[in-house]
Formats: sequence, C-alpha cells, structure tokens
Amino acid sequence: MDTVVIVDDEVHIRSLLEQTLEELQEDYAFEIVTAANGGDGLAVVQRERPRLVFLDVMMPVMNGYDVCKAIRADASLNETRVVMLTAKGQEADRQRGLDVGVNHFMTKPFDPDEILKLAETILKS
Amino acid sequence: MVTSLHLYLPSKRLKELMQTLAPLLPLGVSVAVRSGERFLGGAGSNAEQLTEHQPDTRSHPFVLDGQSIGQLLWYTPPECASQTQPWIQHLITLCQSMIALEQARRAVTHEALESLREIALLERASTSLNRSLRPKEVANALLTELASRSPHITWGAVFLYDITDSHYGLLTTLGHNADALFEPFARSTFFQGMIDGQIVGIINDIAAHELCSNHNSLFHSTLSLPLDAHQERVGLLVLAAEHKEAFTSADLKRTTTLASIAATALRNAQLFAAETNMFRAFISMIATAIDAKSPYTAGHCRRVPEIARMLTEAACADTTPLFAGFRFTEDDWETLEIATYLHDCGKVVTPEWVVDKPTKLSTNMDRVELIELRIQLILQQEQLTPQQTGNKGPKFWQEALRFVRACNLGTEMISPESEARLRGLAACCWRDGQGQEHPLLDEEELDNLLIRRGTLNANERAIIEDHVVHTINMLKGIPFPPRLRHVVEYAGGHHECLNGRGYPYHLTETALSIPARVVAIADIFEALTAPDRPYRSPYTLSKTLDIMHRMSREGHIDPDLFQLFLRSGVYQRYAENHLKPHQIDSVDLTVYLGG
Ligand SMILES: [Fe+2]
Ligand SMILES: [Fe+2]
Repeated sequence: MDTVVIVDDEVHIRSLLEQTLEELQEDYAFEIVTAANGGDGLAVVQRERPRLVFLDVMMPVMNGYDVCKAIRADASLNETRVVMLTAKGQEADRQRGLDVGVNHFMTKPFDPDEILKLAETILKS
Repeated sequence: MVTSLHLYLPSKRLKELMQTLAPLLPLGVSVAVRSGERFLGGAGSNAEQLTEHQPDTRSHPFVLDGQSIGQLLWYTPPECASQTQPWIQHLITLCQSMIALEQARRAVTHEALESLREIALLERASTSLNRSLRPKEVANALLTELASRSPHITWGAVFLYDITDSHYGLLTTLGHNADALFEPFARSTFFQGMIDGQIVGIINDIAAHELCSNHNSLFHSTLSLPLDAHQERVGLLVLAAEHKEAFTSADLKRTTTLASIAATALRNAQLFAAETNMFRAFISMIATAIDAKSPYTAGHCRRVPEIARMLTEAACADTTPLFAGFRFTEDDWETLEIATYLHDCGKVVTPEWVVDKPTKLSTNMDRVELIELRIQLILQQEQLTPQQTGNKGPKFWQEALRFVRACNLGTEMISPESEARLRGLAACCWRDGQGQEHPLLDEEELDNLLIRRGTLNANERAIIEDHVVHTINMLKGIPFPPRLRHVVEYAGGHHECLNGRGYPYHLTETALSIPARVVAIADIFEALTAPDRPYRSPYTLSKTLDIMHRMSREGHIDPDLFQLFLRSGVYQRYAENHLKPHQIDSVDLTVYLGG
C-alpha cells in the first residue's frame, strides 16, 4: 500500500492535511503517517518509503531543505515526490527548494482542493 | 454519495481494537468488520472469510444517516453462544461510539476545510479579479474562476448595467456558442425576472418556472446573481447548465463570494474607464485643435493613428521571421493610440504662418503684394518722368512682377540665373513720398525669395522642426502611468531617420523602436497623400509610394516596415477609405518589393 507522509511541527496543520487527504482514501488505498519535526520526518520517510511527502520548511531538529536534501541523496527514494509547504511571503525561497529537489510547492494557508488535486495526480500515477 | 465504513473506522484503530480483543474472545469465535466486499479488520480464525450466509454467523449493521455503511459479523460455535453475546454487544457499542466520534470529528474538520477553501478562494479571486482595470477582463476572470471550480457550469455571462438608460448590456460570455445563446435569452421574460430581482440564485428547472413562457433555450438550470457594489447596481451574473438540477448550494455559496468581489472590481474598472475616457477626450480635443489650426493638414492627427494602427496590426499578424518576435499588448495599443494622436501636439506653439507657409514672402500676409505696390509706384514715377534715362518701361516691370510672383511660390528650384535676376531687381529703387529712395526688395525679402527649395527659410525650417521638441517636452510633462511610459518615445521619434539624419535628436536604428518607426511611416504617408495641400494637388498613390520607396532605400524610413506596408495591403485599404478616387492609381508592387 502507498504511504503519504506529513512532516510539520504545527499540530493543526498536520491534522488538517491528514483530514484533507482522508477524502482520497475512498478511491485510493494509502496510509498516512505524520511526524512533528524534520529529524523524525526523515526517519519516517526512510522507513515507509512513501509516494508523497508533505514537508514544512521551518521545523525543529532539521529544516525542510535539509530533510529534502537527505531524501534526494538516497537513490532508492527517487520515486518519492516532495511537496514543500511554504508560508505566504516565503515564495521567494522557492529557488532554494528547487535546488534541493522539491517537486511541488503549496502556500499556507493551503487550499484543500489544490492539495487533493495534487495528491490525486501523484497517487494515480 | 455512498460513504464507506472504512472512513469512520480507520484501519489502524480497528486493528488496535481487534488486537486487544483477540485474547479475550472465547475459543472458536471469530469476528469481522466489513464494508460491502471490503474486509476492514477482524479477530479469530478465518475472520476474513466470514459471510452472513454461513451457519451460526450473525451480523449487525452500522448505520449512518439512515444508510447502512457496513457491518460487524461474528461466528459463534453453538456451544458458547450465550457466553459470547455480552462481548459482541460490547464490541458493537465500541465500534458505534468510534463511528460517532469520527463522524463528529469529520464534521468539525469539514467546517475547518470549508473555511480554508473559502479563504483560498477569496485570496485567489481578489488577486485574479483585481488584476485588471478593464471591465471585460474582470468579467472574464470571474467566469473562468467559477467554471474552473464547478463542473456544472456550461455557459456563463456578465451583463453590465448602464445607469443612463437602465439597460443591461452583454459584456462577456463563456462557453460554446454562448453569445448566440445569451442574446435571445436576454430578451426573455425569465431574464427580466432576474433583472427585477424576482429570480435570484438557483433555478434548477427553467421550463417549470412561472416566468418562463415557451422555453426554447438550451439552458435548463440557471444560477443568477445581481452584481452590486456599495449598494449600487453594477451588473448581473448568469450561469447556465444544459441539464436540470445542475446547481448545488456549494455552487451558490462560491458564486456569491466571488460575485461580491467581482462587483467591486467591476465598479473600480468602470470608474477607471470613466477617467480614461476623460483623458481620451482631452487627447482628442488637442488633436482636433492642431488639425483645425491649418486647413491644409486637417485630419492629419486623426488619420496618422489609423495608418499606424493598421501597420502595427500587420506586423502582429506577420508570419515572416522579420516580425516573429513582435508582440503588442492592450497597453501597447493604448500607448500607440495616444502617441499618434499627440505626435504633432507641439504644433500648437508653432505660428500658423509657418505651419503651412504658402509662399516664400508670407508672414501674416503675403508680402509679394507690397512688392507689386512698389513696382506700380515705380511705374507711375517712370510715367511722370518719361525722359529719365534709368526708366525700364512697363513691359520690363510686368515681366519682373510675374517673375517675382513665380519665385515666391517656391515650386521650382532657384537657378543661378534666377538668383542673379533677383539680385538685380533687389538693387532697383523706388522713392517714397518724401523722395527717400528704398531698394525694391529689402535684404530679408531677397533672402526669402532666394530659398532654393520650398517656401521656408532656414529660420522658419528650424521653427517647424522645433514642433517635435515641443511635442516631447509637452508629453514629458504628463505623468503617464508605467503602462503608458512609451508614449513620448513613440510620438517623439516620428521625424527621426534610421540613418541618423532625422530630427530633433538624430537618433539611429538602435534607438528607434518598431512602433516609433511605424509612426514615422504613417506620418509621411498621410502627409504625402493628404488631399488639401497649399498650391499643389495631392500626390497619387504611385507617386507617394515612389517617394517613400526612395526614402526607404536611403535609410530614411525602415525598409522592412515599408515592405510590410506594401505586401500587407495596408496602403491600399487606407487609400480606398480616405483618398480621392483620382489619387488611387495603379501601383506596381514588384518594383518596390524587390528591395
Ligand atoms: Fe510632425
Ligand atoms: Fe505629423
């Protein structure tokens, strides 16, 4: 079964994302696993080998860029798509995200429909 | 939508529950939770294979909103049925409370996600709907946004309310063949109901509506909302679908949110349009004033914009590599229009008698008349003293006057012989009432008559050429917004030449943009073909193009644009609309198109 990992230090963002994605579970079989900081996030990703990771930028222990860099350094994870969650106004940092191998960006506060659309295209493929 | 139990009994938690339960179950008992064909979890042997048709197997349905979404199945060997019953009851209660909790959690989440959706929609809409200050673009953005969010919308239209005649005019539409569908619709009593406010929101079966008399439209459902900003009517939004029962309350909610933003954006666009119209009226007024200043250039400031626009359109449509990268935005069109209308605005400060100085001796009057008077005076004096040795006789003076008049016209070059003759005449004298002697032509008159070509002396030519400097300075004084920042450049370059021999700044190829070159060509073509010119009949098309072809070869005007002017047929279309029939002679393009 596919796995989707959510890495964010804010609990309400985690649960909103999780609950948004639950709508897709009607049509796609996948499990959602969450992590509350970058270090745990990387460990979860390495263990679960998810299809999709939602990754916050500013987090304790390890920031989103470093997590993504570590994911990209692992050739066995090259099927994993990384969606970076940036805050409004941080759009300028996207280049840095692209440099470390981020596939997509979402701006917080996110639009549930955009999340669903993106997740669906990835899970469908 | 059929919801499924697995959404309310998440597999992870069900698994945990079953793991705790398994050791407590009496031997031989197995339980399973299923949602239709799907096995969600269970405990005991062969739990996955349990079905209600097996002997000694019982089931309990889980119901949500009156609908069965799954069931709990349990198999009990007959000998321990009574012993198992309390456990099963307990399990059912547990599952039901999990479902209820999950349902509540989902309801709250749903609300939160809906708010997030609304925030996202508002944010995106306020950006996309306020991106433009053109009513049509705002309306298009509204329809596009709505259609992208709702699959039910087949057609959409925005009507603008005109306060002066209380009319709703179709501003823009969306969907296949929409214009043709909305036009008759806008004459229906049903549409009138929308305007009157009798119909607001969703009508999911038009044909059944009391205001619908003889339904023959493809529309079967509509969603309409008035567009109001600050309690003022701005317009009307109509969405239509080809099926009955198409629109949902979610559509209405979303549309209401967007309509309020759109109404404000439209209102702003209308206010902006009013300001823009006023500005345009000023521009038009100035163009009219300049054109009115000289009967010979009447219409110049109005016709140059037309030629420039046609040639620019040709450049946009051109498929050759020459203009492949050439693009023109709405703002560019506006810039070009303003620049062409105002390209000669500096002429308001040029004295009239220079603008179209008809003869060499013209100031505010033609001074050739003074010379005639002097000659008549000389003749009278000669008649009074017939024996005087210096007398030249009437025939000489008649010839002299005819000659001066001819030179005054400036239609022919002054040859060295003519120059000598004029200098000779200038040396002749006439006597005033006090007996004081004066030369027939004073120094200034002689200088003017000696102008080799045309009627303007060097000083007057400088004054004429100065009109561009005035144009540039006047336009620089207008604080054009950034989107119109090229007005000065397009207008100020119309007398510059690619070869650097133009004025006022002797700009060269690198400094002259395509639009600036277009304006130069339009200016020359209009000036040469203008119907009313002092003392010469207007040039024919072939003569005009001959002259322009030479200018193109000499690097005066852009050869690529000139070729485009010819091969696109712009010159021909303009000629048919504006030139006198006798000016439109046959033109052999092959002569010019070779290069
Ligand atoms: Fe001019
Ligand atoms: Fe002009």
